[in-house]
Amino acid sequence: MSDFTPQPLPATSAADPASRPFFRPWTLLAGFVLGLGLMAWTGRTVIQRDLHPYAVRFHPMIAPDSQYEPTMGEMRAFVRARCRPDQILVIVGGNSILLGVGQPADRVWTKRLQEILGDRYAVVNLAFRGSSPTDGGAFVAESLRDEFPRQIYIANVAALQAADAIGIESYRFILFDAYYKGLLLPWAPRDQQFKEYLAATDYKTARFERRLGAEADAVLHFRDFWNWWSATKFFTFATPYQPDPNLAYRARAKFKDEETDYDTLPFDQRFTPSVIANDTIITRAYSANGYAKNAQGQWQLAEGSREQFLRFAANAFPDPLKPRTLILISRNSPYYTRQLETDLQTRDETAISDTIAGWEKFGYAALSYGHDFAPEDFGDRTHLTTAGGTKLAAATAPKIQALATQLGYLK
Amino acid sequence: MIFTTYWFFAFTALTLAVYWLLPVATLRWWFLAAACTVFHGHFAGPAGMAPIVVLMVITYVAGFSRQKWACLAAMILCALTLCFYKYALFFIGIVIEPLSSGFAAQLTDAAKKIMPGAPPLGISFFAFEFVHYLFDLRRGGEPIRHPVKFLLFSIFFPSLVAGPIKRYPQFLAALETGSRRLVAGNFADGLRRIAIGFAKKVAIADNLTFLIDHQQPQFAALGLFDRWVFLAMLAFRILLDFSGYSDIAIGVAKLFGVDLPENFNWPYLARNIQDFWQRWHISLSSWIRDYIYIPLGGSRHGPVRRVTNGLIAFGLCGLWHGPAWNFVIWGLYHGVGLALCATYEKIPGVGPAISGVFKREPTIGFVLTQIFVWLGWLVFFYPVAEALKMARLLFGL
Repeated sequence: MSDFTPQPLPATSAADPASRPFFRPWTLLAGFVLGLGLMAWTGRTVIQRDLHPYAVRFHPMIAPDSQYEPTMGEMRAFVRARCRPDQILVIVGGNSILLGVGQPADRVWTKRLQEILGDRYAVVNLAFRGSSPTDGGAFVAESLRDEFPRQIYIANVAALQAADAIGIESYRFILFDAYYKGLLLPWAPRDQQFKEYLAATDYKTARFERRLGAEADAVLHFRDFWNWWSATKFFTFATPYQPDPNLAYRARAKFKDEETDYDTLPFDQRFTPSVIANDTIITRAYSANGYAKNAQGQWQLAEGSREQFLRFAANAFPDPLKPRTLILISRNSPYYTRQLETDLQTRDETAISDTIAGWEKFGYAALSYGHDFAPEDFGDRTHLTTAGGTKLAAATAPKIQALATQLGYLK
Repeated sequence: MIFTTYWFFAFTALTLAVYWLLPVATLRWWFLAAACTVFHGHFAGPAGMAPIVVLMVITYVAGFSRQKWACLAAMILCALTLCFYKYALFFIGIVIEPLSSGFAAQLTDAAKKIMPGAPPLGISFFAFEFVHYLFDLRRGGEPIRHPVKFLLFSIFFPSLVAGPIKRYPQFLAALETGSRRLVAGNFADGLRRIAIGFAKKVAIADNLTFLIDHQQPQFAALGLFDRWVFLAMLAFRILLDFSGYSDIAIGVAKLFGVDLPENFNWPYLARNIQDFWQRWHISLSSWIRDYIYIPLGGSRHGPVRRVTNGLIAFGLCGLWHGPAWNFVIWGLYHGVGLALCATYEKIPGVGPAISGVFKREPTIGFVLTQIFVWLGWLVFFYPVAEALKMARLLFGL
């Protein structure tokens, strides 16, 4: 090591051949701007075609489960490719139950629903694991309200489950995308909630950063560009979320829908002692919050809990969209509910009735399913087997048809 | 990572546009200083900014006074501030805890009440740059009298987060020259450097991080070849991540007409450990050399002092990377490597023979150096016991 003596740097000179850049500077800058513009145009253009022509739903390899975040443009193209203008669009949102976890792609319940409803309807599955009723599919349906005015949106909840107008954190990237691309209706409760979300003190910087990204993306369409690239060419970053890490970079559209088929899994693999113990606790708590017996010995929801639920229901969807929204109330498998004391079964039924009444009060359609399902219709506590999916489709189709009639779609 | 935020992009684009639209250099300095303050405030917050502002004012005043005692006091304060924010809990753990766990717990609680959740942003870089400034003034350097220039030297935003560690004479010369007129060549160089930096960081290093995190838990189950591939990924991940970051910083500074010092020079082409440290994190290694190793006596007092000074310098270099034993051991590991590298030729009989082999076959030196450096990354990234286990597995033991 030698001693250091500060020396002023030699002044740089543009004329110095050694420092002359490979490209002419202004050419490089113009190329930079042109390239950016070209990529933005490409993103905006390519996203208009369906990136997943063989998919029947957003299975894990084209969902956040494997670090892939579908854009609004991508999901809108997915819908357009599956619904003709003369058809009634039925968008299925909600969580893994409606996604059809436990049912293989060729026997997923939405396919059966399509068969029952016939060619007059087009059923598109936009459900995501763990999603709330107001997440992805809801925003896509809302954004297509003018393009497909004859539409019905379906989502599911558990009894008295809250549904925030801005969805849940895991899928909020879809709200950011939709909101800053100006695809949503003005809806004061949601706008206010989103404003408060952005301003939350602890996350202000991080959320401002997301907002900046979404605002830039609304102009530059870089997420659309990279999703097109990742879906059709190769995935651009490693992810340990797929079974084989060697496939980390494989184009997402080349993956098959390989959801588990509960029909091929033996009962004792799905219902292990620890799963049963855990799910029994959850089942017993299904309607525990807010219910107490009144003087007549009937289960009654506490006023505070009722008000909170009704507030969520009132704000969840913009007023014009409420009449075309069908909320399905999911039940637990009879494998568990049959073991409940009669009193708890009564409480669950009361909660389900209250939930239906609560949604209907604001103009939504609501339907509970599963009361006549057998244990074999469920692959686990909540997800359905192919048989269960078929029953769900059969239960839902008449309600959809009735709703379509009521909304004047069949005229 | 601040450089991959939209805020950083927006801030840089806006600041750059206004900077070059201003008609004279003086105005550009004032504007850039204000912009850097906004940048620092945005990412550090008031709690992170406050200690830096205090240090900055004290350093400026001490430097302005040109009193040697004032500069020394300010240097000590900078070092103590760094120790407090970054190492207090570590020191309590290793010094007080073995003597009295109750007292250590009390001290830890008290320290946590005073300290923010995380050390102030860039505290290590600030402390090192201020110490350099004050040290050089004590050696007769000229202080920065212009407060705006001093502010710019302190919080110039491209180098604020992860360096390179600047030297004030070069920085001021570069600022004065580069800010006078817009040179299109600087733009081209800057954009190209930024693009290279992002490609290194985002396209390669971040992907390697995913693969490393995925494979590390199954390291023992990997085949021998795959274990060495893993080690190579680890080595290239840190190089590309850090040098990518430096490239972005240097590129952004270049857009403003300012040359920052280089931080990396193909370190994995080094032929020995000394050569490696002249190529790796150059701004840090030269700082350690100038402000720790040489003041301790450097190589001037015989081989024992030379080796001891090297071990102290590299132990501190390791500690600079974080308050944990594995960093200290990593630093000492390199200190030992440097000592061996500097002295092996003097071992009677064997030394000259080995030296002859290295001179005839430089590839051997290159390979041994890379194996030494790459194995060192295991200690850098993982707890010592885990790193030793992984090192054994690499050799099939």
